[in-house]
Amino acid sequence: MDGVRVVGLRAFCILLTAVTLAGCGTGAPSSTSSWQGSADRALGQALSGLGTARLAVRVESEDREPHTAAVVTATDAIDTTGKEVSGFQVEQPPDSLHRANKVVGDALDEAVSLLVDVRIALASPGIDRSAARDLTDRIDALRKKIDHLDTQVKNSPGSVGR
Amino acid sequence: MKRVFEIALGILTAIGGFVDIGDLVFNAQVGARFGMSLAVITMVGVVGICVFAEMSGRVAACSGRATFDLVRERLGPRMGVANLFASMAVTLLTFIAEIGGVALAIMLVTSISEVLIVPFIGLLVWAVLWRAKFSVMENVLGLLGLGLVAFTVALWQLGPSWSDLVSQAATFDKPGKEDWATYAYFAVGLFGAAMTPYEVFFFSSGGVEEKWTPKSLGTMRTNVLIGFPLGGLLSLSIAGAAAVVLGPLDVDVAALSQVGLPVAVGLGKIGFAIVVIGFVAATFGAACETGLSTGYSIAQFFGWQWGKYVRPREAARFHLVMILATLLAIGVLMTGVDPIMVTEISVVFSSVALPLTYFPILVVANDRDYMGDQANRWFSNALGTVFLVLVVVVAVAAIPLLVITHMGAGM
Repeated sequence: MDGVRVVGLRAFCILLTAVTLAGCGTGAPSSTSSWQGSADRALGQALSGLGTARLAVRVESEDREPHTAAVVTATDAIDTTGKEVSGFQVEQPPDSLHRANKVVGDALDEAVSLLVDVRIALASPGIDRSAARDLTDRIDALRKKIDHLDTQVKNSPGSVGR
Repeated sequence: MKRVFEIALGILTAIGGFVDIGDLVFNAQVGARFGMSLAVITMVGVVGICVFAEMSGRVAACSGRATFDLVRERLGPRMGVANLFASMAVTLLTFIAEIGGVALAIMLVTSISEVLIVPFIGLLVWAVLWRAKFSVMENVLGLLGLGLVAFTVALWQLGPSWSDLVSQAATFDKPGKEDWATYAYFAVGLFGAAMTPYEVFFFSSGGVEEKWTPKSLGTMRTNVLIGFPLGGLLSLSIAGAAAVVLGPLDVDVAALSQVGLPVAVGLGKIGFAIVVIGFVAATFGAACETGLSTGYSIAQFFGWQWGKYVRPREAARFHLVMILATLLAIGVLMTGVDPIMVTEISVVFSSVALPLTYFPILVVANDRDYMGDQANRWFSNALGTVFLVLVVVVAVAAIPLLVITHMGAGM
């Protein structure tokens, strides 16, 4: 009886390891729901990074926070958004969603580029009210686009990019 | 007059010392994503920590001995080891997170990478643990931690719709875009952050260090029953300010720099400066408390000489444990690991360790051999049992929720 238990336990461990390793493969296409989850998280993080950058621009232009803190805030936004974007980019999308994956990837790249622009503008030479307005407008426009894209990803991923 | 001053000081330090890096991060995250809809969890957590802090303080005052010392003696070495292992693992993680938190707070105003700041913070924490008087450490850092009251003032200044905030707090619901599993994950995190095990160990060991007797029970209860709930109000203010400023912009808090933004928006530079002082004091104070707790728990378990009122030469192994813990924390943080991630993990694992921490306290507080006529009465036992059931549920749910919600990122 004990021998049967040991064999069963071993078989279970081998199966568990195989399933775990199979899930860790970087080349295998993910399922649609898994892709939706990853895309949603990455877009959500991009929205969060842009929201943070918007606040950093506001407090800097209104002189409500020390300059150093505003720059650190913008740098942190790039860090955290960049990590989530990298995570999304290394995943293999399902075959039917390559186009959607490209659209989401482009939007994420655009978000990271804008965050870098914000950090550079904040760090040096600093921003006045008109520069702040320009940056805020760009952030708001991109946030709107990403928000719309996120809704599409959640509701009908196949329609993204068509 | 001296007694009134003592009580006031105790309450103020309890308020200032209540919030640590876990509370800062989790309350801001929850406020930004869920508004005030999880406020009730913070309140329940505050009641829980009051129940068990009062119990462990009473044990220290009546027996003159601290928790670990009694757990091993009363429940045997096996339960003692389980308690020691779980609590030490969580306390060490929290210690690492707190030192990282101090470095992040300093980075906010210097922009020097936190990895470069960490060794100096570690050295400073060790110096305070080695040299500073217990009362000076507790009072100075506790009072400076009151800088976090800036969140309450900022919330007021931001002029939110109070009826909206109260309605969110009173309704058991989540925002439409979030799922219930993520809601539950943050509920578990908030509960774990409010009931962090080290707070109880530190409180009871501190009671022994300060030579509490049954006569000290009144002061101890006043500190716990007024100071901790007011500290809980600070937590709610952090969540409220985040809900008002960060929530509408879909900000998901992942850095300490984001936690301070609502204060900058509400109060400007002066408010921000005050809150950064609060960040540094709260995290530095918690780093000292967790650092001491590592020494307390191991020394008490093995029956070594311990305490800050004893000369370091006489409590060499107690100090050695704290030095090793500090070196370990510095080493881990120097790898470049994100302190906020360490914080989130430490808070969730705190939740897992809660039953192993609080069950023994409930048992010891019922033992008349140690407690005499100050043993638990029916009311303390009823509350203790309710919270014990709660902490078991939370402990069982914590890890599965961590996995399926991708650490709160969503399913």
